[in-house]
Amino acid sequence: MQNKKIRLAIVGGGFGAGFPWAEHPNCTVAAVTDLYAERRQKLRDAYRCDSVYNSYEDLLSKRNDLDAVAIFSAPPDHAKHVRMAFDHGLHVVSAVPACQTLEEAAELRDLKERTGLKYMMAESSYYYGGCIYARNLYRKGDLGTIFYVEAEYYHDYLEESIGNRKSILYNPDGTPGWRQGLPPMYYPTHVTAFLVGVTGERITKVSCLGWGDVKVMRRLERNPKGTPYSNEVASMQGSRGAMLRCNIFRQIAADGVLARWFGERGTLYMANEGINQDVWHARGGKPEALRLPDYWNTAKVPEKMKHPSGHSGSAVLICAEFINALLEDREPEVNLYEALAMTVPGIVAHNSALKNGEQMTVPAFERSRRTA
Amino acid sequence: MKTRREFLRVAGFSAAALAGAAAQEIGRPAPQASSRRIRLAVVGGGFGATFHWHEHPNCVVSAVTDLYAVRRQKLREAYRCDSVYDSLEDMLKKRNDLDAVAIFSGAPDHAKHVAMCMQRGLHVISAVPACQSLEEAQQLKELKEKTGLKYMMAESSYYRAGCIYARSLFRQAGFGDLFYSEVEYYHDFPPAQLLADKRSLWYHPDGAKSWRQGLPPMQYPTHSLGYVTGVTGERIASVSCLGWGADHPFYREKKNQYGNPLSNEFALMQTDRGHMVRCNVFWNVVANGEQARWFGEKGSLYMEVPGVSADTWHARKGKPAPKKLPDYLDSAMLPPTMRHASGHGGSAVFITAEFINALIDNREPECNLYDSLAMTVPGIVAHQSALRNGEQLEVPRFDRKS
Repeated sequence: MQNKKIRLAIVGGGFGAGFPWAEHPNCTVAAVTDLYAERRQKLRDAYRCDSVYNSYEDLLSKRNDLDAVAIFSAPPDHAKHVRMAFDHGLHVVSAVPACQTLEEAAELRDLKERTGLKYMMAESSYYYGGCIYARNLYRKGDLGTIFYVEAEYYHDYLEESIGNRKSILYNPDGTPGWRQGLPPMYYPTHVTAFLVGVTGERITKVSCLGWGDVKVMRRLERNPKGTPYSNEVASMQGSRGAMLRCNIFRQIAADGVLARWFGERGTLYMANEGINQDVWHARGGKPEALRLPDYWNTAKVPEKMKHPSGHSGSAVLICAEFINALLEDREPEVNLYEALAMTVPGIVAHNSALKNGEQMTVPAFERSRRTA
Repeated sequence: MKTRREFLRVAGFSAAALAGAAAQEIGRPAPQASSRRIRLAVVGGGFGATFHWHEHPNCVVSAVTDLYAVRRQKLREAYRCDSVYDSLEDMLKKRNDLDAVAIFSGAPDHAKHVAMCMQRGLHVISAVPACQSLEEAQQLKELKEKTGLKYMMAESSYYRAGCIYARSLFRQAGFGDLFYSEVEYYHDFPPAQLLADKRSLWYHPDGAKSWRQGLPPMQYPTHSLGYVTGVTGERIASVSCLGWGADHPFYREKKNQYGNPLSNEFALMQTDRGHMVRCNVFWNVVANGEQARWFGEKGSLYMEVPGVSADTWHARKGKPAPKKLPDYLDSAMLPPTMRHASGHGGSAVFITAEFINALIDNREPECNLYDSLAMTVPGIVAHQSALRNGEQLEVPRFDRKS
């Protein structure tokens, strides 16, 4: 197994060019593709891979020597692209979110269970230092029961990016990109991961409210769903009774992907730049600043990959976990069931917001009995 | 010659005056010309003994009462008042020279005690919350409108420095559209510990259960909602609330006087202006205090969380920067004798002054009955929502007919 190399294809040279796949001793980047020449070049440079294809379809039709595909295309295409990979017998790591509809969620699950292939979602929050710390603390029992999590993804890009064709609201050719008009809760996994990825709990119910500055929303060039909201706040209930305050705001004087965990034995605050440090407040004690370990420096990360990396250090951990799981023939940590548990509540949340906060039940997409 | 600030005070709070008044103005100035003294009775010698009625030149504490001797003594000493009664009923029967009553009894008794006083023609300041049921809210509104008497709720959050600052900033349009507020009241009462401690807030001086034991958190929502209605004047229109109960038979088996299973409640509320509010009241949490964060189009304001973060202003497109709040004690609202630090985050002197000032000026106080019910009623509905596992419910309004 030491010498085995996973032959990986990378789809999408935006975020997809930011991972250290090539550094894993058991991984070879065997093919790369993007619809845009500029991004193909980025992928070629990032992974020193000269097998470059003009489309994913083209790549799949010409290569039959691959083991796995890393899908870093646009969110509306993730489920479709994952399906195409599964249809070709390839394992998949996919950018977030897993899908954009409940139908896609069901389809992904069926396909995964029919093929037995591995799926992992590249959720960065899961490998943020604060989240790893919270998960370890929770598993040791030091948080006690976590009854409330306050988690958020604040990114104030919307207003200033409209009209700026070099911004993330546009494709490299200047056409409006998928971010325009995307309901905030259709991109929920950075936030829901702070509950699902810490306790393993499922979200069963959601009530969500939305707000958007009409003047700003009207200026979007593309808004296929007519989304009125740039900001959504959701109240979610966990299957074991935890409460999650889940926010995704695109117009706000704040920035960050972070969480605070309230447990019976203490409260943990993730660092919020300019506001607070990482803080642990044990029951009966005072709030104390924490220094988090360098989580890239662990045995599961190959030597060459032991370094800081993108998305707050999560990139090396995501690469290592996917490749390690394939080598060890096991399910990766953020497997399809976890991924859907982080994705689906947001889809339902947006529906709730459109109904002004009506509380809705979140369907579960767990392993079905036939594969249990 | 008048200073600019004095001129602004005289001019009242017109929008233009406010825009120039920076963050310094807190309320209308204390009356200067009146030698009238409000004859005030104080009911309840717990929290009720911590105000500054006797320091206001236009107020005299002329009677005090509590059901417990130890608290009667506290009131006698705090206000240097020797007219001490064993009960509110007794006091009301024997005294017909009073102008107003300060009700600091147990929360479940507030509405009843306010009604008793209003029926006798007395103005009232009441501890929070205003009431415990929608029926009481309706009764209070009807009684207030029938009698024309003044009512104020002594909501401390309204006069905490962070809230005063937020209110000023909002009125000067410093937030722009204030689309989201996060408000919370965290007060850790671990059941095993509190039940075992007869000197704790969960017991009366004689060892009987106090009203706090098992009170559903959202039945005490005003410290949180004071940061919403007390800043923007908004009303809550709908609520979905979730709850959680600490792992102890006290909650798990509802072994408390309210049959309440929940120690912590987390509510998502929508306002009448379409804004979003996250409102928490937790009785079992490793955190402490009444705090808020306000998010507007022009910036975000964070109230201090002791040991965690400082008062902070984050201007849109700028960076978060610590904010030193003004020293609000230098205010014409406070008679000079009252310009000192006081309880509940410095709010006690402001609450005292506002009530007496309003009676002397014959005007409605801040935190009048309509605002008080707007801070109280959403919590009552929120708890009902929590008992239904978060079903979204509409919040009835108890506003003045326009």
